[in-house]
Amino acid sequence: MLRDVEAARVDAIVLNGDLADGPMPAQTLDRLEALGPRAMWVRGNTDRCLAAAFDGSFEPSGLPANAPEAYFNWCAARIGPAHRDRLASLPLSITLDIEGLGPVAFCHGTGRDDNEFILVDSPVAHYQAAFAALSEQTVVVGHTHMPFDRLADTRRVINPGSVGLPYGHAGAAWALLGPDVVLRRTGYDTMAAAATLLTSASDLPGIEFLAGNVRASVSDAEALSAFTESVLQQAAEH
Amino acid sequence: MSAEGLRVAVLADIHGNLPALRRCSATSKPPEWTRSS
Repeated sequence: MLRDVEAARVDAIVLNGDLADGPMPAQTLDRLEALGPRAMWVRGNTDRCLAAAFDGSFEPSGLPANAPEAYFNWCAARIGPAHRDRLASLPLSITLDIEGLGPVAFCHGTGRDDNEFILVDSPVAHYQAAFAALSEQTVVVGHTHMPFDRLADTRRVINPGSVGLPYGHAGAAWALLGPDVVLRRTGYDTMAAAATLLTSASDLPGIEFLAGNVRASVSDAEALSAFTESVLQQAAEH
Repeated sequence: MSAEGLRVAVLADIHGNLPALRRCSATSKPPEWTRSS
């Protein structure tokens, strides 16, 4: 995947959140740090939770779609202070001037909450509220692991999908922006990768699901159904 | 960097899956891609 990114001759690589938690947290952060100043980091909810777990201040969200404390504690025990400091310093959103698109905002969940679930089939009113604080007419999100590109009351909202835990398809999903928006998918040896993850993190809570999803992805219909429960709970809170 | 702006790649939700991030760099074939619009 990183070779594909290099081949695309991009000026920058936006890391749009939920980067390190999972089977190989320290190794993943070290690889991303090696990208250097071209990497632009954005905070995801699990980046925030991992830093909090490292500090011993983790607080569960209460949402069924979020991982439990034991998962973050496992990950936190495998990162160091420099990793923690990186995760704790990430911004909620950044804005970049993209060729052909103009100012584009990048945030993991929505413009107001790194843990807000917004789906391809969420009502326009949800989009209006979730991005009301942003002036940019193009926004790139993440969080729900399913690629999409849609309009919502004149604002274009793009989700590149997930590199490490995609729903609805195999391989690693990402996006290329400028001058067009291209949703891309890079194939890799998922069976070998799943074996590596199981070996690296045999006692990580949820590892069977994570490795199993690498081998054979959960369908997008199933993921949408599961996320909708959290969407409804958040709607009541917002 | 273009005078009109940047070209960027966006990677999200890696979730500590280092093989997904790195292993597929072993392939030299063009990636499968879909154009959304």
